[in-house]
Amino acid sequence: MKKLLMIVLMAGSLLVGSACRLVDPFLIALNLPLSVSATVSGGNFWNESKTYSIVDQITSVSPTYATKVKATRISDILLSMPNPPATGTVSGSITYQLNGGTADTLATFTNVPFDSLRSPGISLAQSSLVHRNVAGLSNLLTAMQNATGLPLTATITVQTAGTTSVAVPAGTQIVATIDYQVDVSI
Amino acid sequence: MQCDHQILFVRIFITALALAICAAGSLAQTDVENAINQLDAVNVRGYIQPLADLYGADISAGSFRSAYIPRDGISVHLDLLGMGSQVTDGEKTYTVQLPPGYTQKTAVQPTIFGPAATVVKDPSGFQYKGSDGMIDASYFPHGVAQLTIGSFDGTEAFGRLFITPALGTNKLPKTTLYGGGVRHSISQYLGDPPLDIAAGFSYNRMTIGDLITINAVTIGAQASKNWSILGVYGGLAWEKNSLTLNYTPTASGVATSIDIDGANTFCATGGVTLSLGFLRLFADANLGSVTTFSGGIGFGN
Repeated sequence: MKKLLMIVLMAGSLLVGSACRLVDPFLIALNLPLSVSATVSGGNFWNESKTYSIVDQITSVSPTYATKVKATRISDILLSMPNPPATGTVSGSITYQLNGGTADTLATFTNVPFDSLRSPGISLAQSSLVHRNVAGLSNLLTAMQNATGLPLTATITVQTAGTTSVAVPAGTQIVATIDYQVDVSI
Repeated sequence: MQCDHQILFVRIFITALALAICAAGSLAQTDVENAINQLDAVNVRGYIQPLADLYGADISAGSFRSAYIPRDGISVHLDLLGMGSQVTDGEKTYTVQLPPGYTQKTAVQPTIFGPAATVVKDPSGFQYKGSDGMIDASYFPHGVAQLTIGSFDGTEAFGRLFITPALGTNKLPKTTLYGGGVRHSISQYLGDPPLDIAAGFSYNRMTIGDLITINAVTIGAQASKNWSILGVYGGLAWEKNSLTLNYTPTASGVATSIDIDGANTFCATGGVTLSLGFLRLFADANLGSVTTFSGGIGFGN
């Protein structure tokens, strides 16, 4: 009887072990939005920047992840306006600085209707409303994308500035977001 | 002899508990939660849909192995169950919505049971990739201990429980499975039918950390026939399985609750049991949208 039970248990154990296992290691693609939310002040002006440490962004998900990075990439860049007023347009720019260096223009836009900036906003991947600076975007991609580990860039500052065509309610925001993906091996 | 039985019983229970902890705990890691948090509310459904399908089917399986319920008298059974749902190719990938500006609008990416993810490149230079699958499985297993007590007017009740405590620091969140049900003998009203017949319902609930809750309700009828030590049993059941995910996507930072239905709505069960005095061995197949096999060892009168 004991032998029979042990055979049953061992067979069950072998079946579980062979039929199901945790993949080791596997990659998690972290989505790290590097965004700047600019509040329109004085009725129709905004100018705001925010600096991110890439490693700090990764460790904010888990303290151990920064040493496990296998690749990085930019998945999208978006310009959006949460809760936009009914009518009006925006004109301005998105710029960035790498490691505190010289500012480079990523995109410029003129007379973009508020309504077109509703969530998720306008993607720089394909838009006639926002003019991409091809050289600036190319430099950014080169600096931030790495197929083998952390990027060469330690910090990035994202900035947006511009004006609205009409005075907007206090608290109205313009948001520029670099959607950054980091693969960590777990 | 009685003492030998008790020692053997304790050993078997500890071994089965350890096996089931391994099976249940492997999914409940903080890294799993981190991966889920990376997905927005649209794409997370596809990534974890197999959990609703497979766990929903798993935790409902194996609740009976006979339709015979005495009209009265005391009967107690303790069963140690293992169950595993088949992971099909359809459970391994899903269609993800790519970022809005991409020329290509959708792409196939792995679910939590899928292969390694691949990078999608847009002509703009942007690139997107999902997380890899985390579980390589042809069958997705789980374990549970079930206690059945009867009988009162041909009615018995069962409860099942399995708890995986939090293990390590931020490694394995607590996983809890509990459930129960009631069954009633129908054959007691039918004179001397050729088969034992019963009907009943069950409810099972599983929580994985603070992130995921799975509820499963089953209503069904069963029939069985015994010959000496051998018995066969079967049943038909209606099932309702659902998974609730409470999480905060990193992209939006907004707490979000999502309900996902499991695939099974109807299930047919067939199985065999071998009664060896104090002990029973049993195994069955559950056929529905998800195919689940369960089996185990039972003790009791």
